[in-house]
Amino acid sequence: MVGYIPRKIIVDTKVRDSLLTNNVLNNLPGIPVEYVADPNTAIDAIRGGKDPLCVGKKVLLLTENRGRFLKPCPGTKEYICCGYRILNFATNCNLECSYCILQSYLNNPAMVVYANIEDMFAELEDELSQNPESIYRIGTGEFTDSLALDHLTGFAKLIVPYFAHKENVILELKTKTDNIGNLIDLQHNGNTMVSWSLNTEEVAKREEFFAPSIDDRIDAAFKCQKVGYRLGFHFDPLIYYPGWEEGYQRTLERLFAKIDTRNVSWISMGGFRFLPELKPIIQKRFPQSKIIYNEFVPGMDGKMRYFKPIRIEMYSRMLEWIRDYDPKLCVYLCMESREVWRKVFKGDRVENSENLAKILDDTGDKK
Amino acid sequence: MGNVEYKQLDIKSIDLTDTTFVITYGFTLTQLKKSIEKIGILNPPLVKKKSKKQYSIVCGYKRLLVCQDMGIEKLRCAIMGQNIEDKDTFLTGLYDNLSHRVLNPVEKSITFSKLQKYYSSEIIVKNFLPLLGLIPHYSVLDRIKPLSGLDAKVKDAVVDGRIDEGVAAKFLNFSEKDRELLFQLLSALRFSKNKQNEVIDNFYDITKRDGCSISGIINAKELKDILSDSGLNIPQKGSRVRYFLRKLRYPKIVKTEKDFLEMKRNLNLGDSIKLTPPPSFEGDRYCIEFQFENMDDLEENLKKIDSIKQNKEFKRIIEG
Repeated sequence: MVGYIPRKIIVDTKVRDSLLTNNVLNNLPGIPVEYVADPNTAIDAIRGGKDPLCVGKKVLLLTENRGRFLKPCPGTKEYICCGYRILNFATNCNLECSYCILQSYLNNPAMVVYANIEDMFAELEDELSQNPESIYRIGTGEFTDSLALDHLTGFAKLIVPYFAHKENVILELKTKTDNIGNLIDLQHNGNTMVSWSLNTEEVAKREEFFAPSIDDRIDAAFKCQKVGYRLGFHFDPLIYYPGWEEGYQRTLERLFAKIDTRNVSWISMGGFRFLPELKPIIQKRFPQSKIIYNEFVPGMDGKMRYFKPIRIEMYSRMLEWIRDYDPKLCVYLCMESREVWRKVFKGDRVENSENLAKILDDTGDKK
Repeated sequence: MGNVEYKQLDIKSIDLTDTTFVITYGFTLTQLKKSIEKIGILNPPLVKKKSKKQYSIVCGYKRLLVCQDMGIEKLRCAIMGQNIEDKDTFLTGLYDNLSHRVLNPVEKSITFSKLQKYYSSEIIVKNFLPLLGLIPHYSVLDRIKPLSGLDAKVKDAVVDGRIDEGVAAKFLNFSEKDRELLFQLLSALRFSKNKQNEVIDNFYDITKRDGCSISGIINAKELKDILSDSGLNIPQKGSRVRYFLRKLRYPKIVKTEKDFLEMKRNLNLGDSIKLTPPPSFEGDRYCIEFQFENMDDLEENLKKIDSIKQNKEFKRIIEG
């Protein structure tokens, strides 16, 4: 995979001396840099211009996060949520997946890195010390790919060792890339898990344009396994198309040919879902994509979801295939209703968000 | 605009086919003709010399068409200086139009297409969209601009309000042959704006999903039978066509709805008890509702409700 290289870097003068800013500028000699006192002007220009989603991804904005870095995952009460927390160090992604919800979710179309990490660490110190009894499952891959910019920012080299010394944290770096170079030599102390979003090879080729192949992702996971990282895999979004059964079975086969299930903390599944505004965006930006032409209904959270029997069918089959490899593997559903949980897991294993959070806390804690 | 010169011109010297500066589309001349017959032309048309003997129209296109129709040979016109750039000439015509009327969607589209000869998209979005009463955003330009490229029939239908402009823009996603078929169908069934959108979206989604053409769908026997059924009025045909398309677009959902209705019928709940599934079968809450007049009535309804617990099909739907 060729790492992300922006056409232009915009540096908010408030973070011009930050470590992350220096890392990025040192790793990108020759790329034009503009220093601005107010990045909103630059953002507005992109947003109001032609094709903001495409143009925005070519601009890397280094700025400060003026709000909180650590936030609860924006789950909705209508569906069971895992109680994840998001460490918001960057937003947007360059991998150009047709289905990416960020296309209709983010207001700022640029690739953004929040470079005031001193503030981030101060906030983390404060939060973690205030609740030493709580287990924090923290991820950085909700509004961005956790590792897509790591060759530029070196963020993993800062965050992984930091969490290595924390007792009550599981950091999850969620990615579709094989950009794991910075991770290999780090001391992680079992507190960081690396997880990959997986799909069928067909979906990866057709819908995940700049992401590495499934085999490359599994190879990267294999390398992380070798140096002792806990692993996670996310089959999210599951895509329903003719031949999906063979496609996902093949991916599982390749995955477990290299990955020892004992090193896997969890596997999640989530059917493709999207804000209604995303459909015209996909139609315009990815006219060859057919994924939006399946049978979707409005979900209780306002997102379009596969018709429930389709979701139940996919989850049930996937669960069956995963269980064939290891019946004890922790498998969970992302943002699904109690009814779907019951029908897929054939029991009352998870009744609410608290149940699920507890299961994942316990699973993640088994080092 | 610079200085203008007023001259009596031979109407044949004005090239009525040259619409370089004209944005007018979708009009009838009846009223204007009556007016000109009665009081003549109060404001002379504005033209610009294009060659030694010929002029282009800048303002007054409809007036000139009426004069031509009435067999008027000579007409007093205002003539713009030849040194004025085409861009400024076009703007003169545009501002003149905007001073006394609101442009229809096709005229807006023609305006944007012509402005693109002189201005970048950025300037059009920033300066000209608000001038025409539109939000200054690229998506608005993208939606309106293609309308002028549509077939005349569709443009006419947009101008007289038979087809929604958003629906019309979607026509361009189809081949010429498919556009014609779609237009015939929408015209025949006289759908409201929302239903037009639903129908065209379903057609589009099905063709994209299955890689087929509109003609392939329209030629299906079931659809042809609906359209040729003389026992159905237009709203009934419209409703059946929409159901036919929905069935093709959402086969699993429509089958589930049908199965639910069938199961409900078999429960023999009568008219007083309503059993409603969650919207789109997404939630897990079903609703039973009834009204009663007296204790006997209440007892009877409760008995009926109690009996549905034994129904296997009901249990299968609820419990999966």
